[in-house]
Amino acid sequence: MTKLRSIKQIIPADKVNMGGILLDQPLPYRGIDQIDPFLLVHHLHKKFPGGQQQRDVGVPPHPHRGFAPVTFIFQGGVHHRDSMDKSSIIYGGGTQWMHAGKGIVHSERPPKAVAQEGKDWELIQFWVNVPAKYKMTDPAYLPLSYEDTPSVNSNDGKVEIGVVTGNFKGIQGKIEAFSPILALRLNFEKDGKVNIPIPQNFNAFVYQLDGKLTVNGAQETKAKDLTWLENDGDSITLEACENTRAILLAGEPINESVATYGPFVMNTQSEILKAMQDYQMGVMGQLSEKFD
Amino acid sequence: MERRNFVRNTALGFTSFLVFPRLVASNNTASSTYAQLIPIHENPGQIRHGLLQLPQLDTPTPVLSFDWLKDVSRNVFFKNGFGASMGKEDMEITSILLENKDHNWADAIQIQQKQEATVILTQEREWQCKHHQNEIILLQNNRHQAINFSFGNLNHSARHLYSPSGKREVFIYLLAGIIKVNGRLLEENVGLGLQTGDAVVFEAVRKSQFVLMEKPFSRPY
Repeated sequence: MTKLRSIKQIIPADKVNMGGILLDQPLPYRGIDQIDPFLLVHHLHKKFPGGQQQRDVGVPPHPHRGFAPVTFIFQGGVHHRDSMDKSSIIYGGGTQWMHAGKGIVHSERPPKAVAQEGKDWELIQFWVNVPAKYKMTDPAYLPLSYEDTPSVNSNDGKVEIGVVTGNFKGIQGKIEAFSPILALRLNFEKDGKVNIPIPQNFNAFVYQLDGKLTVNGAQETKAKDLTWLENDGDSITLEACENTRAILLAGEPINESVATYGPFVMNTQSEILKAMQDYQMGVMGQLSEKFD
Repeated sequence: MERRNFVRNTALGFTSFLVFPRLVASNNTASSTYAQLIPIHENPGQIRHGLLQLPQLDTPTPVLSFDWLKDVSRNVFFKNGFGASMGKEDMEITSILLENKDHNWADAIQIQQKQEATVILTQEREWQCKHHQNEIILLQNNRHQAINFSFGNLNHSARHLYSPSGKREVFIYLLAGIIKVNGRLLEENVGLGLQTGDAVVFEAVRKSQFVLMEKPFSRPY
């Protein structure tokens, strides 16, 4: 017999300026540093004016260590380049799951065509912490296109559920995380309804890109809301009042101390200093981007 | 970081003061020749994500006082990544990139200022330098790489004589407070490059912390 999880808090995203890039940030939020193991959610949606060079847009080379930055692409695409010589573009509907491990330098830019032709660019990036014993493992980049993402429709056929990692009603995601995670991409047509089982010990939330949802038949939520769920049940029901896109993230809490500063996520401030040093000394590698 | 023109510094005073035993005065009377003030700008407060403004060893950097001093960068990382400072919960880190090509040696020293102590990380180890001491402490004597590294904490009105052995290239970076170096006022987050064989007089106008790097004189700048 399943029990619906109640809502702990609805968090409306704040607008933040990330070095000139305006985006919506529902996590961290005003005293809420993390929803273990999730440290950050950024939602970026912009339209390029066109006539720009790829080298001048997006996020230039920067390092990471100690966690997994994950990008869900919704519109346009993301061209990932990294210090392991990987260069890959994933388009709307796809995912870039990167395990930074002991260190990697990467850049994230719109594809050349998006910058030149002037198109919409929409993505969500969220940060997943990893247990201390995995923070210094080798980095890895795992691209997953829309076509390669296992998906299933709801019973009423009006909700498409993309399973990125974890298991949804027998559908197993292709990405393996370092701790138990459930990450779903949800596309609702109006009146679409779905019940999603979530292990009770997982911390969980839903973030809406747009539209309107009713949670557990009672609470309405709107665009840019992050709905944080209590750990008092093992499922949630979502119903769309209009066409809606959302993501559901749930994970077993890691319960370790967290030092997250800048682009690094470790357990202590000393380890952050070490990450800075290793980056400067070239231990994380270097990235020289090649543009057409 | 801006590069200022070298200023010939010929007016050296030699004043009576307390000599601390760790760095003993010598009788070298060669005059100090060059001094350069380097303002070190703080990078915009870093919210969580990328865009880390920090050069790597192979990154071309503007010329500072000496060819072994590749870069000095200051970054403030907000604790909540929210775009607003959380005060003492933020991390203020000064990164000093050093390279001695003659000895095939480099280090990226990270300095974190906390309330009661300054944490300094070199490739060899981490130091917790308490702020109650009133002295300049030699932390690392890199005989082979030839760049020595010291941390100074001087209380208000304290004076200290630093006496190099032989003519040296000296870089002083003030982390906090206000000091006079050979009578020249240094305020926070300013570096001073000196080529000198004479003693250097430090005088704390306020309680101050600073780092001092020095190496044998190699060439006129």
